[in-house]
Amino acid sequence: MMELLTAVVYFTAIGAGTKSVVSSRSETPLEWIGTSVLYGVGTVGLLGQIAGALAIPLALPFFVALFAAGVVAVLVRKPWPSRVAAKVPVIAYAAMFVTLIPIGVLLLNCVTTPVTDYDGRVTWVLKARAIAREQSITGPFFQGLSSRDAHSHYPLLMPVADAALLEIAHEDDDRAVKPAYALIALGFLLALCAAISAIAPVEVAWLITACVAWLPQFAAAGDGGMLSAYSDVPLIAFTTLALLSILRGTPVALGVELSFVACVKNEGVVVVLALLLFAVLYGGKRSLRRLAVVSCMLAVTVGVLAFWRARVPLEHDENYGSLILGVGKLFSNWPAAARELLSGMADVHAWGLLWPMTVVAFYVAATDRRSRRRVALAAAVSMGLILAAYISAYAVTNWSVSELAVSSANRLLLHCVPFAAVLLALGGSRFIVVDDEEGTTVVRRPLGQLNSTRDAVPDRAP
Amino acid sequence: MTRTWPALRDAARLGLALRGRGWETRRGFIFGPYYTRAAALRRVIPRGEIVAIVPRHRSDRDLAMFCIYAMYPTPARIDDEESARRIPRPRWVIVVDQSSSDVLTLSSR
Repeated sequence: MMELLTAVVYFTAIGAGTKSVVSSRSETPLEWIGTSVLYGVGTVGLLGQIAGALAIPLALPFFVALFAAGVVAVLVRKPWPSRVAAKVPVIAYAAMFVTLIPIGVLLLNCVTTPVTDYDGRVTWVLKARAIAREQSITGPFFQGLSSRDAHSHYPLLMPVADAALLEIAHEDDDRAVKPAYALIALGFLLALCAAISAIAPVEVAWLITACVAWLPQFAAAGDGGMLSAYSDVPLIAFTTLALLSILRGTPVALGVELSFVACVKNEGVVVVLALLLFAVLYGGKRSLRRLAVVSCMLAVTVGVLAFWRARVPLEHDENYGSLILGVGKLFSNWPAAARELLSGMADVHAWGLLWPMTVVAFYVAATDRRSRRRVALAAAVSMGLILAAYISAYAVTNWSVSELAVSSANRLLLHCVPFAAVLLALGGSRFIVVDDEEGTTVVRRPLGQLNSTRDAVPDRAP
Repeated sequence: MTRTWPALRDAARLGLALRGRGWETRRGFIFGPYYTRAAALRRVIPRGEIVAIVPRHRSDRDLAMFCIYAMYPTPARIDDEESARRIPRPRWVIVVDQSSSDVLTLSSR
């Protein structure tokens, strides 16, 4: 329990402090908690990755300094959540209650159960323990001299954040890092609800959040789900955070959040491109100038990542950079690779009816008014880009595609869930019938009056 | 729902069953004899000495990977040709064989 409290205080203070510097948007209390936790983990991991690449020791003083800076920012800027009480419908409370069940299990699991999943033990937490021990991301472990550094070029946002908890706890036991993954999953659900609330009524937001919280691949999958120490849930959490900034229009925050996405997994680069495409399609030409600022911040992060990668040998991993140049193999294997990845969408044991409903929601939103059509198109094209990139990776890999799909297809499809949730929100809110603000007439609320305290889909990103 | 509910129920039951036990006991409870054996071997091998982990069969390879995690901070590597080229052959060797009762067998050269 002490480990959980430590993680909550540490990441929330740093996250609230960072957020107060990069964004001034008002937030509800639940949104504030979710985004603060995600910002905390992201900030520690990102700054640790940058500092480590520049050979700054990742020792306790570094992590304490981050905490102190976060506390100072919070005390100076007072970034507290909005106290305006929004009207919450009964159906939203019911959905919240349903969401609390997996969250309760998640919190119980993180204080009682050690890391048991495959990649948590073979890859991610082993890297975290090595960072905490060697206080470096270029030391003997990362040179392949002391142990097996699986996927040696994977970005280290999560291992560095985990290492912070290990150093604060002054121990090597993975019980200290479990709360980080639980908080990320919790933060993801709260950020998802906030992102959907920006384009749909609050009851739709909570209903979709509850559905995602109960998705088998998210809640029940031992490898890659919320109870595991994989980096797939962190990836969709930071993706959702970036979607929230695009929908609410905070460009500096978006630059930081895209850096989190790029540094959490190799696939993050693909998701970053999809998010930039979403931002352009959603915001139109006027967004391009703001995205230039975002791209500059992103270029620094990717540059530091490349600098670090040049200092550690590539081991136990595919070199997709060179494999993708095999154009012949790419084209000949593409149909089989597409079949393997996309057939995972029909797996109802992993996804329920999420993907068929997403297709229907896209159709519904695409036939709606122009502003909704634009968001739906942006989400669908971004999802298409991610899927095309993953299919291409399958096509060029040296692995047997069918074997690779068994272990990774559902985890890769999980990366599309934030975009699918946007489509579901657009489709679902078209037909919802709710009380209007006066409370007497039952009407379908028009797009511009979704929530009295929130913005609906604006014609252009602010 | 049909898959999520049983999984959440099982995770909750496991969490409740593990409460009050030490963390090494919890790992022994979850992972079985291999973990208990690995923890014992970790105490036997002198600090800083590199261990080669050799899977007896192809099906033992995953367990060999988990052994690296269980042995950490003892430096350990899977003993294959690729790693043998980079790191000197170590004195300590652990053979992983799930078909034997010990699962892990330690030998020193």
